[in-house]
Amino acid sequence: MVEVIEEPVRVAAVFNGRHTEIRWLQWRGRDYRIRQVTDHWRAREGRALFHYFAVTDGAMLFELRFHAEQLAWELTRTYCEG
Amino acid sequence: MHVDMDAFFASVEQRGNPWLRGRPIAVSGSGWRSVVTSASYQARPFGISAGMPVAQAMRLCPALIRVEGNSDKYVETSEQVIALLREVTPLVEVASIDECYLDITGSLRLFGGAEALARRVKARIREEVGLACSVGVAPNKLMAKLASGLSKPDGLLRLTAEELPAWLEHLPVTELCGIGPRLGAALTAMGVRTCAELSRVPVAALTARFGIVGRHLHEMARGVDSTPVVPTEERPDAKSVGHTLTLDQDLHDREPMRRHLFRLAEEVARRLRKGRYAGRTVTVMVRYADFVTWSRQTTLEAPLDEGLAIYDAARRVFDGLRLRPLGVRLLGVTVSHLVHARDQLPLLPSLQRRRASVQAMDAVNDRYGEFTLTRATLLQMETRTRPISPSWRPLA
Repeated sequence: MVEVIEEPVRVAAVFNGRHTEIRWLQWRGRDYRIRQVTDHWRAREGRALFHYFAVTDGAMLFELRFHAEQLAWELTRTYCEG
Repeated sequence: MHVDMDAFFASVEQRGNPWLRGRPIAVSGSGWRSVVTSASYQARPFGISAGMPVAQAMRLCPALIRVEGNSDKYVETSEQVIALLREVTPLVEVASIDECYLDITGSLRLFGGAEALARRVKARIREEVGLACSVGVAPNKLMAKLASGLSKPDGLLRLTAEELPAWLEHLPVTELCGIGPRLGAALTAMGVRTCAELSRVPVAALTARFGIVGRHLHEMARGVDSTPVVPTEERPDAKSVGHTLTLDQDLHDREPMRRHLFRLAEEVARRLRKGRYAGRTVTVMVRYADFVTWSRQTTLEAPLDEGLAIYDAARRVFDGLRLRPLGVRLLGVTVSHLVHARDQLPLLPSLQRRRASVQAMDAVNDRYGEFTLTRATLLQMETRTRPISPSWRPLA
């Protein structure tokens, strides 16, 4: 089930050349340790560049949006079974 | 060589979401009345295919998982695939977002032959993009596309010139690219079902029945196709620019339909200006609840690239139509007869002001995103996303 969130979150990421590793995210007072980045794509809104990451902690899928200019992270949506 | 990504949009979604893998999914637009744009291979045994309304697909497979399409994701993935293909040969023709033709004649020695090259392409797309594709290798584009289609999913098929007659002997004509259900039915009415049967019909009989297409059909039946692979950067200019919208509910009143036409005209105009095109012919498409589709057009003296002017032309066409009572489910606006737009200053001050306001709107929307600044009439309109057109091709 997809849930639209669109809330700012804290994210620990390692930008490693072409690859980005997402280590953890903090959302609504809870820490989620990220096991895998399952997808990455880019999108533009006007001139603003956004990097999107699909990541999972093994129980849930999170779609994160990184504003490349403002260096801000947002949790855009989640997906979990049920 | 023809490379065709398998269930492209659905596979991209399954790649990015482990919970969707191995399950029946359908990618569609965000509205409940939208149609399936891609169905996973797990959904296909239920009869679900692209173009089917989502509601019908859900009835066929209640366990179907519906995924809202994400054009940015598919375009980026497609560009990754195209970049890999261009490492094999510069002669890559992007036929659509999920299929390409490659002229590999000059690369055969470098990669150890056609099959080795095709296997390498498949392996690299699998490893670096994480998706499966089907590859057809043949003496021409028509047969390469046939071969990739016959090898689906995740297959590789090479058809040599010597093998073609045997392959075509019992092949239904509708398996050939370009022979759809209508043409297939017309051929069936002539007693023609297979390519071999079609090849035995005299060209004169085919041209008498189908006009200029008749000769082409005769060649297709024999596996003959002389169309070259045209790399994207050498392709001819666009012939038309259009948008369609499936409405959330069937509409009977003209006024809300006019607002949708206005929005579509603005979207078409924006794309025309981005491509530095203008067009003289404006076509309006109306699809009724029973899927009967109607389209009419008007051709103007001067080419247009402004939303308001395109809307004015579209509205005149639309207002001249007597609507059927059962409601409209889809609207479309297309501009064709395109010419390259020139930055010529209009003579009349009123037109100069209008041009300046459009340019100002473009500047704001270029900076902050589409419809950041728009006409007041369109402010209350929903801005839900729509799936990308299957005919998407990258800019040259």
